[in-house]
Amino acid sequence: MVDMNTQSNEHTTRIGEVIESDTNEFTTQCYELYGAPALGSLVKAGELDSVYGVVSYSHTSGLDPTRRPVARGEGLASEELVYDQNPQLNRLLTTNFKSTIVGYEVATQITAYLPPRPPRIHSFVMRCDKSEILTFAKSLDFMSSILAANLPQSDDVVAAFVRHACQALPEETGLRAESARRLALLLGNDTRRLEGILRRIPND
Amino acid sequence: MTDLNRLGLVVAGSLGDGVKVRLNSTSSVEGVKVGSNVVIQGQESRFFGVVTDIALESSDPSLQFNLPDVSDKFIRDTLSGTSAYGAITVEPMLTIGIDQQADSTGPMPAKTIPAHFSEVMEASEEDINSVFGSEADGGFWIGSPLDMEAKLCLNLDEMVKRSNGVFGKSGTGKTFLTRLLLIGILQSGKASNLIFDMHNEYGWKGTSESNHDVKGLKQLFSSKVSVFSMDSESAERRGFVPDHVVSFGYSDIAPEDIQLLRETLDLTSIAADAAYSLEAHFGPGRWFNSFINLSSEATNELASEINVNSSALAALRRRLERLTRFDFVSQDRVEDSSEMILQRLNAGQHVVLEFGKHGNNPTAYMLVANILTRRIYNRYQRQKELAMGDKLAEPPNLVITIEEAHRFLSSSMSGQTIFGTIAREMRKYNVTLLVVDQRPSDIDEEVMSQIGTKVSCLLDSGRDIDSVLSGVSGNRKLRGVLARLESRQQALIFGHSVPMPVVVRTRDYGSAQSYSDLGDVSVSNGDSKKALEDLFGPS
Repeated sequence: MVDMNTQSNEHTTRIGEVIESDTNEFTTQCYELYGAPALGSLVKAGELDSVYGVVSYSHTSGLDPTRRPVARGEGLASEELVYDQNPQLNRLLTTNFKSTIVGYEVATQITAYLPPRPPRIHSFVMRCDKSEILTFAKSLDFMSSILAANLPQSDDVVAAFVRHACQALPEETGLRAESARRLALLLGNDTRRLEGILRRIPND
Repeated sequence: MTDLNRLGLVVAGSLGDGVKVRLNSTSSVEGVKVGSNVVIQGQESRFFGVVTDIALESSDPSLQFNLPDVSDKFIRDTLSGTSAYGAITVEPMLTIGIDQQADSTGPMPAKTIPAHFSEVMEASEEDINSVFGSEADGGFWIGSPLDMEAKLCLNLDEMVKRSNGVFGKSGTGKTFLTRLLLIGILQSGKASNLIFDMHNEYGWKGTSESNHDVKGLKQLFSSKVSVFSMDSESAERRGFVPDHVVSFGYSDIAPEDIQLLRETLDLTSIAADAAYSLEAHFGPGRWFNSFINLSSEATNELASEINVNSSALAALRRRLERLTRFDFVSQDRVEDSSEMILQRLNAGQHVVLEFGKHGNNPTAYMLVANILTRRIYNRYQRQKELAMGDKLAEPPNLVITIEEAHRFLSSSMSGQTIFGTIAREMRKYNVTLLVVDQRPSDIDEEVMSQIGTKVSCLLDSGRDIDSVLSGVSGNRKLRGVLARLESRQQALIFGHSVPMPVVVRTRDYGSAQSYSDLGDVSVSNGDSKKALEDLFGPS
């Protein structure tokens, strides 16, 4: 795969740019095909006064909506060969992802509620570091908006966020239990749904 | 103030139904007991209350129908305390002003409830002392609240102002409690005690549940207590010599006594009433002697003479013969027993009247108690009236202890017995009762309402519980507490001697430490070796 990230050793790596933006979410086009971060990851958009989002949806399709992908692998030995023999695919296909806005930074203070305005188009989108993940993992109030959206993937997104937070912060030993209890308070009247989410946060 | 056990927050409730507290996720429902005391820190006042109900609740109404997988510990731990939590109902009894210095009147009955989200904690020892007083204030240490070591004290001044009652099923510890209350009265010197000891438990020694001997009042307070007996042989068998053996003559028996004995002697009311006609005919004091020895024909003649049904009169004579068979009743009066008792009482002594074998005979118990009490009460009445307001000339306060009180104070009897009169007159003549009973539902309602302090051990009959709790505010909730007392060493105390109803674990009685705490400080001189043996004997 072509690696377009030249600063691969930096803490926050640039993933793509904002191509759509509204109060609740922003859409990022990835520089790299299949380069979307995992569902539930925390990302931020904008170099100054960044807006934070949780990856809640990603989508790969053709750049030109009138030209659909067709099957090319018949007779080939592996999937890799399909891409090797069709290098134009990297430019004809594109990966986008949507991030639900969960907070923003103002004067180096991170606040966990919606910013006054969404990020600008062409804002750079980057991964977040441990301290940023910790800030959001500790409050989890933003989860209620993701849960309330009631999208088919809402529960998975919430569970994925907690999984990632626990993996990224192994030294925070009580994080899994604490997150579970916050979720229980948010979903107090729907034990079935809560149970489903808790099952998606295994103990590792 | 060390960190008290924080239980939870006030979330709902009302003054009538009690305050609903949601337990913290860290507090387990199983750690809270009904009847335990809690403190609620309101916005303007501090409330003191008792737990009256405990429930399990859930924020998800369908939880019990759609059980999650609780075999997974993670899910179970997450749900406990969040979606599934414990809730307790607290009855706020008293308010203590937040600023203790400013509040000089002490705890007041609660007239409102704490605000939403007030914090609820277990009561501390200091809270108990500030509400119930301490020994330093003159209170009597009766025991401890549930699950606490604090000393809970009764207000003895208030207690001796009125008649009091100790209730409970047999075997629940009424005797121990009564003994403690008597010791409290004894120690305080606020009243003299006259105890009609049916089962020989209070005088010299008694027995504990585990069949060990425990000391009686005479052993603890030898110089202040006299033990009289109806049965000297029984006393000797139990290893002591009574201060006096009591007996009566025929002239001591009055028609009022016959009324009291109507049920035990199996008399119709006509037959019992005939005693009054006999007294009118033969004269007081002489009627029994004159009547008892009549032949059948003489009885019939008498019947028409005094206009009483002849078969009723014959039945009366037959029943009265039973009384003559008691070995403490003789034709001629040997002594005036009531006078002897009165002398001791006036001298500040306490008298225990043991019944020996006669304790098993209700007729004997009731007859003796009634005769003596009638006499003593009349003397007290006269003494008080003569004193005419001069407090020093008045007779000392007297507390008369009777067991199986329902026999004396049932609805049918209480209007006619001296005990009913004493109960209703409320220390008018400085005499009050301490009633001990296992069937409070048989006691007349009016009498029960005059009882100032009630100490109730476990009762299992709904009617008994109702009668004990009648007239008590918040009695619906106290029912749950009363029905769940442990069968031994626990009692619910409420009434004038305590600012609020409280469950108490009775203090220990029977160990060497308890004797030295409770007994007369002045152990008899020269007898210290024996005293040591007594103190460190089997406990």
